[in-house]
Amino acid sequence: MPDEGLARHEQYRIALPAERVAYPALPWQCANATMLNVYFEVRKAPLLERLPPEFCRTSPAYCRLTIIDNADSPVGPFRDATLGLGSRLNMMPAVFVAASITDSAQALSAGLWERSYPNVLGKIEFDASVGRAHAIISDAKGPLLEVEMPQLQTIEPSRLAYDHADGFRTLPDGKTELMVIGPEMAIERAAICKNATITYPAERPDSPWQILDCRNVVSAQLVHGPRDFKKGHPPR
Amino acid sequence: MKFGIFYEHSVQKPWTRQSELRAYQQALEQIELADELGFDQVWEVEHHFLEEYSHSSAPEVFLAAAAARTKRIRIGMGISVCLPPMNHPARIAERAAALDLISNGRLEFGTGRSATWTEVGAFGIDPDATKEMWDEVVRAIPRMWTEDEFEWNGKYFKMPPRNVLPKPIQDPHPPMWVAVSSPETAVQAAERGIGMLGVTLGTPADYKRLVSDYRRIIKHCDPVGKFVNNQVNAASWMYCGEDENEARAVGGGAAFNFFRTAAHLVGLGGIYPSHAYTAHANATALLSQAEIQSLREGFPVGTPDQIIENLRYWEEVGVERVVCMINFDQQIPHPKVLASLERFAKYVMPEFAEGKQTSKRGEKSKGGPEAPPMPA
Repeated sequence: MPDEGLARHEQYRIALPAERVAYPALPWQCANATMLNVYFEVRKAPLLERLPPEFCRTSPAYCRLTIIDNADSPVGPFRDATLGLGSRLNMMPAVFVAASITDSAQALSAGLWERSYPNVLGKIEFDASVGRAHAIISDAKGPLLEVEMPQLQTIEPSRLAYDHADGFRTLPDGKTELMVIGPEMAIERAAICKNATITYPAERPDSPWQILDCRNVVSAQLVHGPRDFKKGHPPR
Repeated sequence: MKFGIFYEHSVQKPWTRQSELRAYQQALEQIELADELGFDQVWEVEHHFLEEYSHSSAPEVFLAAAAARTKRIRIGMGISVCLPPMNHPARIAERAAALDLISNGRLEFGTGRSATWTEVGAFGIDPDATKEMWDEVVRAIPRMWTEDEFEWNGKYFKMPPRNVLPKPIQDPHPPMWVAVSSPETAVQAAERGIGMLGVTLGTPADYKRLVSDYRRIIKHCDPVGKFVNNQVNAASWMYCGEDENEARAVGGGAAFNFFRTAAHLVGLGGIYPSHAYTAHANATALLSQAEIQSLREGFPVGTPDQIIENLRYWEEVGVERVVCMINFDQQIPHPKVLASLERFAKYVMPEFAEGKQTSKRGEKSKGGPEAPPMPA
């Protein structure tokens, strides 16, 4: 039978902040969002070490990197990024979010308390035009990875579909709860890039963003449309 | 209606040194029996790197062994991947012709282009180009088989004048097929005058539109080969049980595990947006567990009477051949698989023999033993 994940739930327990940063009630309608999405192959061992046992890996093992520029939102412009592990949950395609970052304290708070991600504060540089896109993700210690999409080609939005992205949130009693978050972007315009690259500007061997390093880019897309930044819910 | 069996060579974990050997050897024994029992065809897939799901990367080698052990059953390459970066077209034509010779003219030649990132990505193939590649190759291969001096200057491969050898024994060449899992490919099969080899383990309802489009369009085809193969071959899952409960538990359980493994494949439709893969390649993942466990409508799993009833449904939608998976690795013990084949041949196949008056669905057949009542 397919390989189940080997991660313990406790691996995803985080220390909740003593004070909860106030934020507008979810969901947030983010009218003008741009998402950069890259699927890439990774080695199976580090993926299995980070995948909870509810999930099974695929063959080959792959990750989904998502970086979203939310130009308009109830908390103003903000950006967030996730590193999702390609997997199956109850035989259905899914990604499990193993790492996430945002540059907004309010998005972070919403992520921690009601979603499961984003759950780390950092910095995201994001630049997208008609022909190319580029992003750099950094945490407090410095840059983690850089994505370059040099040649974009328009594609029919109906060709694209994204799976739900799930993660663990930590409850006040210290337990963890699996939260499912369905696709949040409504795709109005889309482009693909056939020569996207992921590079690692500085060595960070302790970070999942680099431990799950890209062995082969599968596909890359730039997507534009409204985003519904919503609450997570337990699996149904 | 004709019946066949097909093999993915699934090998479940945990693996030992013997796992693959056992899968291959048991398959050969089953094919020998199927030949003796009067099954019409055996097909084997070509897949690469699909852990557990399919360890069948050299079908022409396996099928040569099957041909050597059998006398009558037709030998199907189901399919040969027609992508030049994976298989040079001349090598495909050579291997197929050699298999036709070894089997004394029993080859059925299936073509296709692969549907997983696992395979296409490994060979560095652009998924957007696979349909065009397949189209070019299926036009070239019949010429390789029938011309003494073949020359090609295409978009995806080029060859100076050569005599591609050996030539197949079937005249003018073996029947050609294409793996069909989407409405588009059913139409393309018909336009090219080649057989529709259904590869989705679907229901008759799933096949209905594909078959009707195929039948309508092939009447006006421009054949890529020297003749039109207008047959439709559907794929399903078969277990002919001792009684309904045993059939559901044994056959249904194995089918479920096959689908569960299939759900973990990385289909191109899932992570590579492309105009070339409109059908969702890993659609099996979209089936609910409940749906699979209850067995899909039309699956020939059950008592002989139930199977006859289900196969009538296939007949009604215009399918004249059904090829079935009969096991998932060792999930069903080998002796039970052999017994299932024997029951199917004894009780089901005579009901569909040529010249036999067919009954409609819902009419009582005199096929086999009565199914026992369902337990409370």
